[in-house]
Amino acid sequence: MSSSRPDDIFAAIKVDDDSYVLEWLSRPGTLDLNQGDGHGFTPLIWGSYYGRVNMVDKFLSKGAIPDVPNMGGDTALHQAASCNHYEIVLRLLNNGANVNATNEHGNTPLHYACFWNHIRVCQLLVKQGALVMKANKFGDSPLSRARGELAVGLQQFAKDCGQDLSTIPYNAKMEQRTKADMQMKDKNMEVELSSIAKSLKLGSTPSGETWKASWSGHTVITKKLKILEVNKDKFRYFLQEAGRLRVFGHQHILPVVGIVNDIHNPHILSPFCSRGSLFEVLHPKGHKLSDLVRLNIIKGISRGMQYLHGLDPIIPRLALNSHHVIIDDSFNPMISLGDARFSFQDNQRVYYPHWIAPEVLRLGWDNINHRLADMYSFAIIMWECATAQIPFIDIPHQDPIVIGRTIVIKELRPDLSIVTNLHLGKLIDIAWNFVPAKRPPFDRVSPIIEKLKH
Amino acid sequence: MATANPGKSLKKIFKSKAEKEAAEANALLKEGLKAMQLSDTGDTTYKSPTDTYIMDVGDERHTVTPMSLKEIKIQALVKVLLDWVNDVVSVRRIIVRDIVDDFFDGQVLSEFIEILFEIEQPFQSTIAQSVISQRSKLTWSLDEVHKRLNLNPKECPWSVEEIHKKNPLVIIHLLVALARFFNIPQTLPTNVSVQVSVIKMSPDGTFEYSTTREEITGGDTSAVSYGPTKDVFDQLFNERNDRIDVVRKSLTFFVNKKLNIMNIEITNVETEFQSGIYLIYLMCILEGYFIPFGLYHETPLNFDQKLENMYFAFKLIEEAGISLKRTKADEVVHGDVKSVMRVLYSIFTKYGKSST
Repeated sequence: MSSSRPDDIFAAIKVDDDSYVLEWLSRPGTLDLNQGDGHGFTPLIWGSYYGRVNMVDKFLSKGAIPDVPNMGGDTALHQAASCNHYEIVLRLLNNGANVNATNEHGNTPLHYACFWNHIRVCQLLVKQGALVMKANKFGDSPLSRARGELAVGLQQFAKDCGQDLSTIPYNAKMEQRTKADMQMKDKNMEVELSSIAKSLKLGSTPSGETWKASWSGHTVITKKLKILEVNKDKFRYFLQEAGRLRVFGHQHILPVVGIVNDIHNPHILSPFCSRGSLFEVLHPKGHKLSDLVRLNIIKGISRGMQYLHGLDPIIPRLALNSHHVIIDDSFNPMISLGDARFSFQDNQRVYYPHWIAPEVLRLGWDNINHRLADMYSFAIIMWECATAQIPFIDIPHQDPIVIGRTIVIKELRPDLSIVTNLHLGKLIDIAWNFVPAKRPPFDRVSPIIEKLKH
Repeated sequence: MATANPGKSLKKIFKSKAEKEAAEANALLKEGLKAMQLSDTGDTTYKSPTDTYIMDVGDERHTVTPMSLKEIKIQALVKVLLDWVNDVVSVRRIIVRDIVDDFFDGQVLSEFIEILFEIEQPFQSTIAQSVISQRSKLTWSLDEVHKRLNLNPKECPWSVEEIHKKNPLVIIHLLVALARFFNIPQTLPTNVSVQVSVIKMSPDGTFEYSTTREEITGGDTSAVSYGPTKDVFDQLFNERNDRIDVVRKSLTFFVNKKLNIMNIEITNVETEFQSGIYLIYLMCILEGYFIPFGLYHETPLNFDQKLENMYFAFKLIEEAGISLKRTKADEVVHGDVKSVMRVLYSIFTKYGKSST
């Protein structure tokens, strides 16, 4: 005695039609899990709102991005937290959801959990790093929304978790960026070269030439990809490969927003960030970043990588290094997917061996475990952030071939004894093990990193 | 001066059945073409230049003597050229039977040029019916040859005029130049020359006749005999033997300056570059990258592995924008001093100035 079938996935979530959802997920073709309904509510957001634990599990395993917001800027975590769905909050956080995501009012999930007096959810959020003093647009912090017992308990709990209890002001710039990203998400991925107005050449990297440009009202970075040998067969996959790099809505991932699909003049577009790369920010001529900021950068990259490693298949040839992590105005790190290499580009040459796992230096990118290789690269970045020094700078000749050969032949790694944070030092030591199989995966490293204090 | 019809004598080269069939098909095609060549004069045999040229005092005209074209050496050369031409044009289902009769009107020649240089001719109709359109096809073809081989038309032995007049000597010269430019797999016979008659107008207005031998291919097949394509190394090895040591020393100095950062010191360029490894290292240093060990043989055990290394090194060099058209990887592996030095010199010309 079945009632009439729901019209679409959103209705199916509402009426809790599991079989419809299963069938929808197995449908071949252009399935976009991160596409919302008329108000930008994605299946994940609706599932979190209605408390559909099984569905949320399935959406996450099929690549739903936890932080894609609806039109009001609410993420799935906002919904789950305000509706007291503890299990879903837990799952979203385990999948790298931004615990301090803000909506259009500047409210975080914790604002709502406090307001509705969901004590267990509040505790869980704070344990995972939700800031009790982060002010919204109107200057109100989550703690100011909590009443009675919760208010007292939460303040103590936050203190125990190492939180500073002074007010963190609202950051308008950050909000604007998220909004702009979301506008670009709704645009067609293939763009005409003529619609991009290049304004300033930023530099020439081994994989291409980058320009600051404006495109359809947004400031972007456009990179003209370098191709050594035109391979039409491989170039056919450009659109498909770039499509996987359109990861919008994750705080620590800088997506590719569009491409110029022209074999003679291929370009990719990414959002523009004025501070530049982590390398530039970490190793300036003048002052260095504070310990806290550098630790937060490690945490951010770890969250971004945890999300990327949750994808199946993962994005290959990411070549994670501090040149490929971009820092925004609020010193928030973002893994730049525009720096991943495409299969039609040259994949034999290594320009930054400092961060490349030794097994890749020995064998090349084929037939190695990319997840474990990324973990090695991340370990070097952790060391780099912890010490604010350039790795392997003491090798007398800084030519990539000399550095690469020295690392492999001497099994060389940066000096761990200058890392003052002992917990972090231990983690780095495990993560850059020369035996790839001995390196831990990101979902084991991330929780440890979140707990690190400076 | 007798009228020469060298085409006929050259045809004797073809005897096999397959070629006979091909020849028949070709004859049919030609028949059709001829029927359309209404505006042509019909008489296309080669004439002695005195019949057709207006000559000035001091002018010289070279004409191949008919007997000379029957020499074994020149026939062998023509055979090699013809095989190559047919290899090239076979993609368009064209068969060339006679380089003179089939090339003089620019028809097949322009298609040959199209395929060779991977370009398109600007003419709308594929069949050149009139003398004017035949000549414009020839002009276009030669212009492309001059442009791409970087030759000065005035220094070339061929011209639209001579080809259209079915002068076999200039067509052979043209094909030899192209064959060398493309470094064809077939070996060109060395030291081929022909007997030519020279007609010179003396100051008093009378013609002077003499005969001489004109060289077509020189002693070294890898040497190109025209213009700038003959590089400094041909000169060095042919004429300036005394200076080889000087060049070797400066190239050794250049590579050592680069390889020093890897604690490598070259003393003998011929033998130490044979394995390809040092060329790979050199490119890594010059272009600023690292190549994973697994992509080449760090310690090659046999000739094949050395050759694989060399192919890989050549790929890296060419992808850096350096042309190695004139050098073969196996020659370097064999330790051919001229090839090694030519490769190093090519690299030096790109990077040497900024660093020494």
